[in-house]
Amino acid sequence: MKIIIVGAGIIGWNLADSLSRENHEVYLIELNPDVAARVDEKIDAKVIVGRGSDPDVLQQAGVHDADLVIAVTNADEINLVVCFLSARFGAKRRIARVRSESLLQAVKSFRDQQFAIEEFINPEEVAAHDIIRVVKTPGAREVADFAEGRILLRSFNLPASSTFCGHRMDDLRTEDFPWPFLIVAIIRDGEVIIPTGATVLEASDRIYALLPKDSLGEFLTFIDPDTRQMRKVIICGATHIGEIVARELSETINDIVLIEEDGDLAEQFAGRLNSVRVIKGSAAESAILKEAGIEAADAFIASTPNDHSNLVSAVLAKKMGAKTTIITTQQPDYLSIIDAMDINVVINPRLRAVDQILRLVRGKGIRSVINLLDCDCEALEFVPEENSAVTRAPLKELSFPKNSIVGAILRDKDVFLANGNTQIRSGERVVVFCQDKSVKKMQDLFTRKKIF
Amino acid sequence: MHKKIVFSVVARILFVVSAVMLVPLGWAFYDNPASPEVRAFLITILVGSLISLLPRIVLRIKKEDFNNLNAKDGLAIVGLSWIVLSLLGALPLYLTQGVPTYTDAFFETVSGFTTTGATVLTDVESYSRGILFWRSLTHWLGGMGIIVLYLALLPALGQNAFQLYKAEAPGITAERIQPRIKETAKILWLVYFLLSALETGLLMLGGMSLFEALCHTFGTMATGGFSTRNASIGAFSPYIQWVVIVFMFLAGSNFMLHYQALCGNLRAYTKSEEFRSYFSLIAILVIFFSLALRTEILGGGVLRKAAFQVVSILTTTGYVTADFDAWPPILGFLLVTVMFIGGCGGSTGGGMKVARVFIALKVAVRSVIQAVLPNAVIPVRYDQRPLDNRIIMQVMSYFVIYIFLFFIGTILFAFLEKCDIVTALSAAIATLSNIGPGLGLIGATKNYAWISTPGKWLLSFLMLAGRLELYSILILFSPPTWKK
Repeated sequence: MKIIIVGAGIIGWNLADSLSRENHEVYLIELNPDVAARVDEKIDAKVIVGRGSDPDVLQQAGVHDADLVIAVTNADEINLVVCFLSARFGAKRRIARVRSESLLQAVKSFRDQQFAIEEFINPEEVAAHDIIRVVKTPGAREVADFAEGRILLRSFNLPASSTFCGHRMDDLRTEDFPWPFLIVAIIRDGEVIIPTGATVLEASDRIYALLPKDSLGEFLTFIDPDTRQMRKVIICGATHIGEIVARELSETINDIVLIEEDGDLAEQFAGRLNSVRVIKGSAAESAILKEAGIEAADAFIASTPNDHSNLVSAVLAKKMGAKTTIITTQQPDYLSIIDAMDINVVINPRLRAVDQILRLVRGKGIRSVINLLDCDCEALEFVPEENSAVTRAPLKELSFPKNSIVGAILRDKDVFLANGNTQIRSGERVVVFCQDKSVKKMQDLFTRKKIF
Repeated sequence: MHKKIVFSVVARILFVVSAVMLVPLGWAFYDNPASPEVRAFLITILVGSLISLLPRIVLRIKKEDFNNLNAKDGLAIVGLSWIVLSLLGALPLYLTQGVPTYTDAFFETVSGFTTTGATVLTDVESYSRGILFWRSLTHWLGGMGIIVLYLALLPALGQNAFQLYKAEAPGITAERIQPRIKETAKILWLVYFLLSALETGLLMLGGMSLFEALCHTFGTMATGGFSTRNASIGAFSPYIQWVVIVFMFLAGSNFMLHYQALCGNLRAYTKSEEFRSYFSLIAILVIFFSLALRTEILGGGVLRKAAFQVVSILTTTGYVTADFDAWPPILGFLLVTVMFIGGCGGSTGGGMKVARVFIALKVAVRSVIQAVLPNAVIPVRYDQRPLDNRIIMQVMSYFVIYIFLFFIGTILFAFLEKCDIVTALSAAIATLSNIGPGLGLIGATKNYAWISTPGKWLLSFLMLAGRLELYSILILFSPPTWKK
């Protein structure tokens, strides 16, 4: 596939890297010649120095026969213009990064006529929803939603007090249980185990579970009987992410505090959201954290644009009593350091955006992909094609790649958990769990073979 | 430097060349299955494959390790590969006792791979076809580049193929025709192959045997200069000489342009400033030489002889049809000057490359204007585009290192060989620019056999440095390269 990427920031860079490894023909347009020179050395893609919104530059990249144009510069306006121009020049599909909420709404309302953009990516919004999911699932290590939030994937470290500990999987799998769930993978001592009926759960196992939305509340009490919904959340940084999180959480949580260093920003924020208490000051100061009531905080969320202050304030908050700490980072290089520190959840908005775009590019039956951090596994949402292999027989008669599991199925708004007798029909939403290397095989099962 | 990865890539490249050696083996076997050549090739192929298997067993490189390859590794891989390949490629000639010492065999092979065409063989016609074919084949492999061939044929080296490509491909900026280096390398080799096939056909039409047509095609398309005749191309008809002139000219211009032309965009040639300079330079020199030689050469063919010598030297091929040593001194001097320039970037030719020389001239002119108008902003344009200061710096430093190497080479050579200054100067530039014949004792009708062993190593070094555009070879001599 011929793909043109505009903007070699963190998103553009990572996209170009992944896509060129997947043998796509990648052109990257970048304005800064120094950055362009670095890309040229590191990535097997053709780099063109210039402004993506310049028609000449786009034509130099051969936009007329491009299959996909991805506009991921920092500026929304440029991204829109790139997509608009490339549509006129004949590029087949277009994806744009748009951060401004109001611009996004406006553009979406007349998308087909004007800017001709297939998909919009807003990294901050994606990250904010990740954070909200974590907050709403106390104790979760990783969270992902499928089928518009009707099927949930959650991962937990089992505490010793959990009712699950010491039980065989068979005991937990009762057909008529009103709140069904399915444990799809266990990580024990760094090894991935795909559970069978005889597997016994132990304390400090990391489990991955698929469950319908309605099961979540009950499921959490099984994981940890002491668990309770979060009551107090402290957010640091009046950023776009901070605002989305604060706004959505304020619907269910009463005590939300926002800390912002910049006086103007703090005041504007307080003006927009009156259900949130705003404190002006640095979250890296213990006095400010104390004033925000850090001892009682169930969650501390640091999402300022500055990675360093996010890190420092989160570590400090944890020390001072916050139960869960969540930070966002800009710089992917820090992810490995953060792993070694006492921080519960790390979200990198840009890498999440890369994941999302890759999912759109890979396409072909896959609706959604979640890369799980600690095992080389992915959770994928498929829509089986008409007459594809997977729809021809019940699951137990099909051969699936090793270490993979068909989890949940969305059939006419109802969520089922799969078992051996389940017969998948085309057009349903199916969530599967498999290792990175078997994605291709899975994809073949869910798509119709093309006969040339 | 990531030594393990570098060695394992070098080993893989070695394997490719060992495999290619099956072709001359086949030729030798066809001629005489019991000849010493067959034995020599078999031994060489065996040695090459064994050495190339070694890192596989010993080092246990994982696929992911290749992602660590950086610019330094890329240069080192290219530099080391060329040295190791020349050491291996010298074996057949040495084992068949075609030359007295291993140094001679090494010199001949380096001269082949670097497309220089300087030979130590006094009577070429006495050698067997297997050996001569391998000698010419080294030209063809080295012309478009062994690394580029490796990139085109074998599974990709991850994201870092560009490091290798850049280190071997000649010119100011390594361009990509296609976003993927593998595709770019494939296209280059395909164009190279097509032009070679065309020339072979045309030469055979002129009455050459398949063997001679192939050997001379390799020599022409790679701008090499090895012949199978003692009288070089001079032994063949005017028709063949004209065919060779045309293909030397094509080989000395940018192959990206040939690709665009094959795709139907013939205007690519006129749009390229480097090609226009290259073409004008040749036209002016041919006219000048023809006029100057009007009274010198008796018996006609003045234009052909002038054109042949000018194109052969400028493209750094080194075929000869006339003893230019006997021409008026001004013409000899002009030829030596032209040796510095060489072919275009992206060609198989050597030298400093037309674009570099013209950019350096423009920078020099700019500095003069700047002296008069201190506040003027004067961009240096090339191909209608202003050049980045970084590129100008690269061009200027290349220029300086080149001249520096030339003088060091000349002085060392004169010291080692105790020869006259014309021979020393022309030997240094004829090897550094990968041409072959020079003036004086290494003139058009002479060869390099008389040079002492240290002299041959010196010239081998100059040939490698010139072909790989200095850096790949020079970094091997700088201590930071070998540090982690």
